[in-house]
Amino acid sequence: MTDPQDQLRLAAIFAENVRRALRHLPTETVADLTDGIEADIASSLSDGASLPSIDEYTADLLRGAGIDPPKISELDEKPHYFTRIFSCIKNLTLRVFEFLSPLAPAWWLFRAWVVTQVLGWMICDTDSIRPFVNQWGENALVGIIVFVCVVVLSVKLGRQKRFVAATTTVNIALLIFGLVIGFSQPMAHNIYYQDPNSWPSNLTVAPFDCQAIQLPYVVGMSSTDAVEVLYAAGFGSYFVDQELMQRLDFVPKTVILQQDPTSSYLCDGSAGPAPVQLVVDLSTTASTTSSIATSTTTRPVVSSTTTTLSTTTVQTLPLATTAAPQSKTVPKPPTTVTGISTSIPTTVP
Amino acid sequence: MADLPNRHIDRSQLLKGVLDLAVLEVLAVADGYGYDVVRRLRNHGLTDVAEASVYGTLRRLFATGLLTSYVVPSDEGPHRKYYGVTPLGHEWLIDLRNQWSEFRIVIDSLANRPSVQSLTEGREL
Repeated sequence: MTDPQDQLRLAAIFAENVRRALRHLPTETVADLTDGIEADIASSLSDGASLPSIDEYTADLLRGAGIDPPKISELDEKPHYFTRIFSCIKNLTLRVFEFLSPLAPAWWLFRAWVVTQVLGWMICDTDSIRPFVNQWGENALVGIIVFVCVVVLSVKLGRQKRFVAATTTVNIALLIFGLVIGFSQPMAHNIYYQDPNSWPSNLTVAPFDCQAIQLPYVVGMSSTDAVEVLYAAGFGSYFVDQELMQRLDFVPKTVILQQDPTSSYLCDGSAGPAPVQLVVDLSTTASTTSSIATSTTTRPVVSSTTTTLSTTTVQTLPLATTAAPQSKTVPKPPTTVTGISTSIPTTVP
Repeated sequence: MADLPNRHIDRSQLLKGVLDLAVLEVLAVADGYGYDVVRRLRNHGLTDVAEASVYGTLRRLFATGLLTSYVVPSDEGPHRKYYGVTPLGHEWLIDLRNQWSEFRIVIDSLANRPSVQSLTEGREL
């Protein structure tokens, strides 16, 4: 084992186990016997020695100190069931640390990546932490520089010998956080949400978006189902609420779900050059009667509905330019979405 | 038939009786912390000395006033507890040396008896 940090950590755990094994002695005696042994054990490990068994070590320690070994009865009456389990866990942890210590450099890189992603999330005001996606967006170069700096700090932290407890706590927190941002986000179809809990799933999708593009195949669906269909149809890789519009400068293929089409928030160009692909109007229910256009849904399970839209909800979004008009859609084989077989159109730019 | 006794001298048992002397001898040269004492003993040939035995011995000698102790903070990790020999410890060391010399002379005189020499040299006197 070469990492001094790991040696100190192992020494601390080992010393704690020794103290636990000496619990039959008065507290002062235990403190006197074990004061400073962390440094000695760490030095021994740095010389290439392996850790002895706790029993052997404590027996030698007591013999050297001229203290009689504990009677069986003393040992039997002290350890509680949970204490023994805890001791087993600690020993196991000790062995695991020892076994994994060669992987320390990989761990330093991983935690640097986690910290970099968290920093990118905070600094770039990204809408959400997404798994295995660079949080720095268009500032990727800055992200790389930050990553290099954090790697240096991480390695220095890994090689120092102080603050073992604090470092261990931070490591555990980063490991948990890394696993969370790596695996707990919804992965299906690469669709990510700012806040799934606040997602307006109770709203249905209206037949037109802001550009008066008909959306016949999602009409009448809940917005959650509609997102699946739109994604499968090639609309967007990032679905957000209109409230987040101003943050989308760096997000390609964005579909904005709009709940308030009369708000200047959405259509006043606040998104700047954001390549917004589509804006879907959620504000009008599918059953709204209108004189403008009609379209029939093709969802087989839900009864076909003739839907129209009020003229007031058809708006123009100058910056939303990539969505194809309805006339350019071509049929695509049916796709199952949330248990419903649905015919999906494919847009042709 | 009973098993033959171990052909090798149990050095750990020998060491157990003279560990106080060995530790005091090492610390009489220069103060040191626990593992430093272990390292110096091993460098002198006591390779099988158990670390924890030395640490226990240091605590016991300290408790009996033969050693003094002080803590040295470390920049690289936990503090180190250094030990040094007190004046009383030096007096004990001299006594222990004398006792060891007497013991060694007795054993040497047994081991160097002429009959034994003749056996080891393969000659009859």
